[in-house]
Amino acid sequence: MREFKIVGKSVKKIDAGLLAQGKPLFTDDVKFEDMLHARILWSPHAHARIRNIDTSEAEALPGVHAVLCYKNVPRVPHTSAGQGWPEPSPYDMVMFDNKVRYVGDRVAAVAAETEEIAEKALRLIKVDYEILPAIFDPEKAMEEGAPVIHDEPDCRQVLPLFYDPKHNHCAHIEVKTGDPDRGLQEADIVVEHTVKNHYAQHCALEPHSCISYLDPMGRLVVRSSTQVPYYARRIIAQCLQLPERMVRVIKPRIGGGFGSKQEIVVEDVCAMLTLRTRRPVRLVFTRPEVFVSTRTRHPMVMRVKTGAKKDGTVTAIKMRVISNTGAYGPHCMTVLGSTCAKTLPLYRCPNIEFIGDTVYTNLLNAGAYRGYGVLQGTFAMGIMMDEMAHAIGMDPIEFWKKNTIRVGETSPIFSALSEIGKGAEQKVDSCALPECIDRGAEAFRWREKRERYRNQPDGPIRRGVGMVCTVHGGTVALLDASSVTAKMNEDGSFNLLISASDVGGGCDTVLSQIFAEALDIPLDDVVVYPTDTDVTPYDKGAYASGTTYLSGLAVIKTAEEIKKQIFKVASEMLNEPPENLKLENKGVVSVKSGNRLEFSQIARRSLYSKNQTQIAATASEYSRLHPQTFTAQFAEVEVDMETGQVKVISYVCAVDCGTAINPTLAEGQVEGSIINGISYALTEKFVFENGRVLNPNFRDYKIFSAPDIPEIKTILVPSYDPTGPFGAKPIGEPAMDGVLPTISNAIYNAIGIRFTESPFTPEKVLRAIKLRKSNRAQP
Amino acid sequence: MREIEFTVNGRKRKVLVRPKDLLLNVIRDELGLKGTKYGCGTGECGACTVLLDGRPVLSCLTLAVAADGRNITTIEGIGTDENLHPIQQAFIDAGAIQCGYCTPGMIISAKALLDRNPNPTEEEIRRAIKGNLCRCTGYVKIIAAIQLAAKRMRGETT
Amino acid sequence: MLWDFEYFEPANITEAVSLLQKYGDEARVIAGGTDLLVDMKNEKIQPKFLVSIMKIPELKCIVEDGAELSIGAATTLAEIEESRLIKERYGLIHEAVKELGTVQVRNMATIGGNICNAIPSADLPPALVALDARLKIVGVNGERTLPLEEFFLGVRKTKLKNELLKEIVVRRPPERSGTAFIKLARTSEDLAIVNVAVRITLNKDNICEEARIVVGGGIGPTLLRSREAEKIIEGRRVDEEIINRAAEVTSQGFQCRRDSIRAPPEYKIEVGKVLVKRALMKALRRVNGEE
Repeated sequence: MREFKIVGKSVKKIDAGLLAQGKPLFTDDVKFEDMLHARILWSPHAHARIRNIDTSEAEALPGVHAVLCYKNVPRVPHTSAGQGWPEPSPYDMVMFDNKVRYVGDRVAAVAAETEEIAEKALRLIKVDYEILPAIFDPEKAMEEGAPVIHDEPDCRQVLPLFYDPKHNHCAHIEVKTGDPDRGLQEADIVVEHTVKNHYAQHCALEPHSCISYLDPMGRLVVRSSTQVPYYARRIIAQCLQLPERMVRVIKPRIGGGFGSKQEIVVEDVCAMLTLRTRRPVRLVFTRPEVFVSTRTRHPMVMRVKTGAKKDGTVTAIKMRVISNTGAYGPHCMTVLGSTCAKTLPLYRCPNIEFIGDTVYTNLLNAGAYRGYGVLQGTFAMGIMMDEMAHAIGMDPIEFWKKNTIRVGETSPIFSALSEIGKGAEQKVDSCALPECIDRGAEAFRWREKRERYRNQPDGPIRRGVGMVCTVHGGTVALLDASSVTAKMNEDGSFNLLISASDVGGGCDTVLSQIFAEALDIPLDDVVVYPTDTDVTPYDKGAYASGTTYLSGLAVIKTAEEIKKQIFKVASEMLNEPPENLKLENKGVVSVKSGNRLEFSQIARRSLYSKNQTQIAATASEYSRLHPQTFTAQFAEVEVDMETGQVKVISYVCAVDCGTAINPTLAEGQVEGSIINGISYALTEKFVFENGRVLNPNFRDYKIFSAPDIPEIKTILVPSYDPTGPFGAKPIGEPAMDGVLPTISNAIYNAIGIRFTESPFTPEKVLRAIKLRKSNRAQP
Repeated sequence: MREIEFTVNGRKRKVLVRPKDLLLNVIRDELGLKGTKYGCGTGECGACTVLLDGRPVLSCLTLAVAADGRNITTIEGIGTDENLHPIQQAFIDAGAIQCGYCTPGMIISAKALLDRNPNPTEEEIRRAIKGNLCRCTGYVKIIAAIQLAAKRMRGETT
Repeated sequence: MLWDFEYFEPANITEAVSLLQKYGDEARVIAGGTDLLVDMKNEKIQPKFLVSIMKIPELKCIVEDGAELSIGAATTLAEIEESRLIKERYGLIHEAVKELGTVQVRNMATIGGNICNAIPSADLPPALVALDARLKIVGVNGERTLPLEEFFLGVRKTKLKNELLKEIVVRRPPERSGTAFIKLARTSEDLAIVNVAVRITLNKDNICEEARIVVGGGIGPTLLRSREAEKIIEGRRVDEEIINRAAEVTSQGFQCRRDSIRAPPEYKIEVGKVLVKRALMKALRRVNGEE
């Protein structure tokens, strides 16, 4: 491992001071002259054809400048998923359609002088709906005779991937390695469960926001709360039938994303209204709109069968998954793919079968959400591992250690499947999972607590402990790419132009640290300029936990280019060959002569004096593999046997994310993930009635606030990944993957009942406790 | 429309408002103070928190007319560019800021707490910010930041 | 989004009441606004006139007179929470108010609003009923007094007829009383799934002279005071067995609404019973000085 100057230090987040002062940094914090306000009309029906829309009264309302609906916008099938190109998600949506597919689907949009006028105009739009039968049960969606949600002739997959919309069937994946049936035969114990996770919303505090306008040249400028500015530009251009050169996307500070802003859900409409009115248009969602009409987590039904030998060897894993994507299929195939490709490499078991289907239903539109299928797969496997360990009488810690992948090993899953199609051959380049387990268990006092709770006296409150290990492969191997531009200023500082999109996690800071480390300069000499597609070079954006890793690699490569140029100028100035030179403390030093040049001297010479040149470079990297981040997670819960309430008392998460470039920020990712995970496991839940969400607000959809959180400890276990920037690996999502099963296992340990369906609400827990009581009463 | 006058961050301001205008919108759109945020509009998330006569309230559920004659402090009135408030500094130092959208409201709530209770227990801190949702941090470092700020404001550490 | 309305800020009760009389169903009283404005934004209600009572000084008070406490309707929950008098002598109210909502909400919301919105999950009404609260209500024809227990007609329905709630009067718990308020909710900030307020007052022989058992939180369209259960306890020496029986009897009076958001009815019945039991046990421990 290397010693670093800036990497590995918890430097302060570079935008923190401005954010602490409430400076106007977010999308909606600016105001343009003549700005119009947009509102959208949403479908009140789960499934209906629009026979006709009459917008004449709305258009006639003074102050209304444009009304959009299926009649007057181009019909461009596309996907809202912010993914590489061509997208692996079906082109199954258009800006406005003559059909609605869930309660909350787009029907029309208005731009008016004020929000109030726009809102009034919406009420004047007359829509004649032909109501169609709706399907809400994902397990019945593929049945013959089920209502067909996408019967339009122009929906399609652009890649040669499975797609059968006539049966509401939008993705299918099969992977088989080894001989799973024989594996089950060889097992001493076989365990089977159906595990189901539930819908949830990201609840980023900033709602989806967009302001679009035309610049003096007539080009479209879109200021947006997006995680994926370049993809947003491409999709906006596609929907509006413009060449990319006519579109510029600016990403200011973003108030949280977690995947929900990896989708183009506001930008296309806002931009179209600008094109129609030639005026700036603002579209900011209300909280209910965020809940219902943006994106949610894919609920999955996972039937899992696994076997193990008495010695603790897992012999087979069979997983049959139905994923519910809701009305449209952004990320429908890749989330499902990740459930296999990014979850199952954790297990050393050679015999694996995965069969997965994603289906359409007339429910909320699922999309990317922190965890991205791995969370679902880990929920299922985390329970199976605990159950198998229990069945053979082994401490889960030993069982996990025995069956999880180690450094230098490979998994057949790696090459069998990426998120899309075949994956990259790879091995595990770094893995501190055994240390994570040991250090986590020690900090948690695992053995002591297990012993104590085994012998706890009967009473209304019971305690228990559970643990789980996780892996999460970051980036989309072979597809994701990042570019970085840097240029030198007279004072020897640098502009770092990146499109790696900081949505709050702090990548602007982390990438600055990497750049400063690579050139041996102070952090203050890095002036980072985040995402503006006219200025900063291409980057995939913020998703797949890939920013530190992939954009970090691009930053190092850019710094290397810069270094070469600096040496070239310095060698002219010093009359020494570049081989003699090294970087030191914002200067160049000759190891031979000891002569030294400051960066400012080099910059001035290169700009003004001789062989004038701007020291600047752009370099790109693409992801060659899925870097593997590991966690070991431990939860202690308290179950109230009379009310069914589950309370998490303490939580320990030990993480191997390679070098933590900024430990405080890395901890922040883990803590945020864990609390989001616990809140999801215990209280967050959509309530539906005929497809309509009854609780699209924080009053009725409860997320944790400060008094609800347990004592939580994050342990960053050092490792060094040779493929990552200064040894770093991803950290954005991995910790959230393990929370559901860790809590489920802890509840099992406390009360002996296994919960395989989330969330673990008091009524569900109490019902199970009472059911067991009545079963025991009847012999 | 009626004219109201209130003191915002120490400065007297007159604005014309309709009865239905919310304090949040007046602060953001009329006064141009964008640090106060919309997060839910129903008083559940706390992103719109401001101090009204020294007490934290929800500006998204306060009619501007009801603020007539009163004293309002927004995040812009908490510290200056040159001289951050110790709570702001502690939020920066403790890594309590991720996306920063909840931060202004969170800092306002923390200030209201520390103004009344310079030495709060962890439980009191948690209760004081119960009305401010944060989805990024899991609150861990926010609680630590408020503890740090309290210590510094008591002069126990720098 | 809010739609247009006219806004009044009367300076006294007479003025307020005459506005309410004049505009009838089209008018609403606004105090803290934390529920009203949410309902207006969601278009559950669209009053044309709002009558603010926050500039009426006499509606803001916490006064003890003998063994009775009067709280003005426009007193904020924060003012109640911070009242030393209430904390020391009317601890049940303090216990209920301190877990209610958030700091911001308590700074805005008033005791009058918590009562008059007639939301079954409100936390203060059960505690107040357990202290035999009466309401002083003013109309154009004068003032009347009504036990709080009889005030609610249903969800969001009360006996107010173009009238204003002026103040709430409660009885100070006699010597040898134990009280407890317990609330069960999904998160610390949530509205109650079930809440329970109880009081037991013992005589010198440790026989229960008076019991109050009040349950709220969507176990019915209004809160429930279970006189049947109180009778089981009164006149007896209180022990766990009697408490269990009282809890059982209380739960027989539940008429749960179908409230699919927070919890299903069967669950509310089950935990309502548990909470009554726990609250009574707690009150008993307190009267015995064990807590």
